[in-house]
Amino acid sequence: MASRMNTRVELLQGTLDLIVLRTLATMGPLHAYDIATRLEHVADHPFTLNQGTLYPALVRMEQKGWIKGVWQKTENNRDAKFYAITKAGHRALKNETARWRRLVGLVEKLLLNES
Amino acid sequence: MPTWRQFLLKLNNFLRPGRAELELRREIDSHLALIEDEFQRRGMTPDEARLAARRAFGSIEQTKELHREERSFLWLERAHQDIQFASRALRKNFGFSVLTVMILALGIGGNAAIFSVLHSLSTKSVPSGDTAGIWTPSPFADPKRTVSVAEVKRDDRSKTDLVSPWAFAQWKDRVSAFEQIAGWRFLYLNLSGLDKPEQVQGLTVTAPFLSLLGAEFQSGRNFLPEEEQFGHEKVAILSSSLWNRRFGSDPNLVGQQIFIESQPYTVVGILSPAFRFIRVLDRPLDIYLALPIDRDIRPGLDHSLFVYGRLKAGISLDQAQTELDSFYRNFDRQFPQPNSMWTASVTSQEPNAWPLYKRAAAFPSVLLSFAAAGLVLAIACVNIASLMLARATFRRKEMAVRAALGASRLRLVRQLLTESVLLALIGGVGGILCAIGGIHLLNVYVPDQMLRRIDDFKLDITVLAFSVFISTVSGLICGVLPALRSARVPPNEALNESGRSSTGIHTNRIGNFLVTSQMALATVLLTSALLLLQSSLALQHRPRGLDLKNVLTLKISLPSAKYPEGQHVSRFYDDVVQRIQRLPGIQSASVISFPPMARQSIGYPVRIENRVSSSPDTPLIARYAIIGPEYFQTMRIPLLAGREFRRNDVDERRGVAIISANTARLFWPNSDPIGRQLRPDFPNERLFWIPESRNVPLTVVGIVGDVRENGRVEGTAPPLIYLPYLQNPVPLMHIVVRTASDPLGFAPLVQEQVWSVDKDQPIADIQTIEEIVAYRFVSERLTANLIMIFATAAVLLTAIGICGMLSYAVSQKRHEIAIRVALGARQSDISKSITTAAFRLALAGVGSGLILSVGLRNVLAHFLYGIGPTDPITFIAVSVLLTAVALLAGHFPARRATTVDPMVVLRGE
Repeated sequence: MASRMNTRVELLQGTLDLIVLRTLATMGPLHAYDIATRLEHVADHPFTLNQGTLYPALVRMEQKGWIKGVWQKTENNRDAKFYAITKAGHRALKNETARWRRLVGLVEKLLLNES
Repeated sequence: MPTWRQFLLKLNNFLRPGRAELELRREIDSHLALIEDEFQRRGMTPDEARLAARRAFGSIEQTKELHREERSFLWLERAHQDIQFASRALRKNFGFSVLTVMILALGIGGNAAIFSVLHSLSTKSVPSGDTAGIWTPSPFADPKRTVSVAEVKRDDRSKTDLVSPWAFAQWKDRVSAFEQIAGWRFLYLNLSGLDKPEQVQGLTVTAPFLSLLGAEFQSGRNFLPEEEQFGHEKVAILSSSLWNRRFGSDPNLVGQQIFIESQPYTVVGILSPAFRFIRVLDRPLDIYLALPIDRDIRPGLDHSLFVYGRLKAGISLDQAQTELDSFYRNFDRQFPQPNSMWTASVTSQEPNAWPLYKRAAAFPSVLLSFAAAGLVLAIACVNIASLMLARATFRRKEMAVRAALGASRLRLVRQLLTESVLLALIGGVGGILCAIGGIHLLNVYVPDQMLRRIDDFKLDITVLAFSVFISTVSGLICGVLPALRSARVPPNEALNESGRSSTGIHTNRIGNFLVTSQMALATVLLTSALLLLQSSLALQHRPRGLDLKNVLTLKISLPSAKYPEGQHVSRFYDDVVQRIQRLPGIQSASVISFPPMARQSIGYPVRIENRVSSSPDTPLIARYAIIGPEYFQTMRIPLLAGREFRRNDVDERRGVAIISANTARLFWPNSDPIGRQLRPDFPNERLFWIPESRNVPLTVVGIVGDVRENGRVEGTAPPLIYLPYLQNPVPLMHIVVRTASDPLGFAPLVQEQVWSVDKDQPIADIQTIEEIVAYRFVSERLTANLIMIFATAAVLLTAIGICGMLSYAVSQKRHEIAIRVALGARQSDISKSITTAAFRLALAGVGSGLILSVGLRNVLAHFLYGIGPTDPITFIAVSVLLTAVALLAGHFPARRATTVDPMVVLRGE
């Protein structure tokens, strides 16, 4: 049971990290809710992902030093933790993007050949 | 690079889980608030918004769990959780936990205590020849370069002897391998001049001796080289304890004169209290005198010096050996006899040069005790395993719920193992406490000479590490089987059944096996213990050719200054013995140089007319005892032929001797020894243990029965020759007194008689012959007692095991019993079935235990005297005893079975 869950998280991991990094790189510092909203915007279906799922990714990337969280006030004067991408994060984004492209290219090629 | 940063952050989060948790909580709260705001902006009511926000966020708990997993070390967190679960489970079953911890504590404690003994064995505690049981090891300043040197026979290097003063003096001058070389010799000394005379033990040593041993002085100095010359002023060095005890810690003692052997000696130094050298016969050494070496002495047979040397830096053991060998060859032509028989042998004194197993092998009784301790721990583990297994059945539901909620089997096993390891570690802590107590007892009861140790047994870091190790291993051993079994329960089955068990039979079979093996191991232990106990008693009470009961001995060593001539010595002893004999309640009294059974005398060569020993290099050797009149009568040694010594056997020119039966057989195999002549070949030196004899021919006048001094070794008693003290006076004598009743009660009276002759004369070693014998076999007795303690523990554990197993069976079969009772079974039938079960377990266990004992007979035979390793009476006794214990243990569950109320049980479903 635990192993099945792991594969799902594993699948999400790569992409989720990339998406979050990409979002932070273009939009500047965001809090988790902002990121989630942004993802929903981009995705075709709203709420495809539980917003809570973001947190493991955020803490992982923060521990890796890719992003950094700071508590700040939102425009509605609520406390929220805003995550900003770091220099290491930019480097990681480049690498991850390249890796993603390669992967997608490979899958595309495979799919083309199959059909 | 990010990996170690991540590692540190994870570690931080693991160690301080609270902060990250709080931060996450705050972040989630803020997140939810933001969603709510948004939903309210879209027109939802606050309540609706809250619910919708929750939905949008997803499972908060799952998020937290995943977050934890990500931010910290999951396995560590889980272990932490396991430990929390485990300690909760253990608290819930407090009684069980306490019992288990106590059982383990005793098992682990016993092992740790014996291990500390094993650990304390040092290289130098290797027994060798005659000195076995007397010398303890030495703490050298520079053990790596320190060697002991002995003289050995060239044709057989295993025949070692002490060093002759001639050789010692030559080595000092001509052997370059030694940086320092020191000779020493043991002495009894009388202190007088103060209120009470006292006898102490001491050494005469050459000047470098104390510096070789790294001795430090609390005041004064070591001997100077000129102080070991003949004719120099007499000087002494005292131990700190003697200085405290006898001289009241007098700060001005150095430089003053004290009286040793009635002669003035100047105190030049007082040793630091930390200084420890060998203990002799379990007593410390108190006085050191300078030992003069006579350089003009000719090579002789008087091998009388112990020698230690420190090798020059860079000189190896082999180089030193080679140099000594060539030294002897160079002298071959100069001194053809008896020098050419000898060479020297150098032995490293570096401690721990032997691996532990080899050192341990030198003390098989320690190994035996260690094995027994190991067996007890094994029984304890099996015992706990069976108890846990029984308990696991009651926990089937708990496990099933956990499994149903998604715990993997591995996780369940891990949790149960954590429980047992936790138990074992708590048991280990208790075990260390037990070990501290046990080590204390061992220090009190194990005489230093038994293992030839200098330091107390200690609970040091190695012993501690060993305890932790065995605790963990025991935890795993007792946990693994129950854990595997209970984790295999299919949840639906366990949850559906309401306590009645159909799978119990299998568990029971394993349980029975565990209990049977405990019983078997306990049988082995109890059998060994009883055999050893009987053997130790047999050693103590073996017929030895003399009557050991009711004999008092006292040691007296007359100072040569006060008693310079043999006639003074003999007059003193004569006077004292006659006074003692006149006392009421005294049957007879006499004197002997060394009391029988004390194993203190040394063999010397004998020459016999008309008999050439098989080779001149192996002279006939006999031990000598110098005795007073009525000695044989006092000790009740039978006179087999000839006559006893008479008061008129005084004239040394018409010397007489009485020989033991074996001496007669060995020296005169084909003729009557009475009237024959023998000539002792004592070394030409004045030592307190050698009679002042002119080595004149002696006529054999009598033959007496052998005194079997040998301990475990069977066979013939070594040759013993008795000489009359009137002809061969020695200053050191033991008074032997046969009393009508408890000998020690007569001690004050006997002492008074000595002091009425000489009020300054110290008396030492007041003891009975039986005590001497007991001390001789203290090792065997202690081992037997120790193993008996272990065996008792094993039997108790087994009883607990049987009781627990059957109680479990009873509670498992409550329905069956209830139905049987409901159908009319009598209570006696019910209890009989339980008792039968106990009987079967006992039979299987004792049977396999006895088979094991038979299998181990060769091992045990090494330790046994006077009884076979498969002694049938012992076997029967053990069988009966253990079966009785099993039936007794089965009694409690049997009674419980009869109290099962069918109405309650059957309605309870």
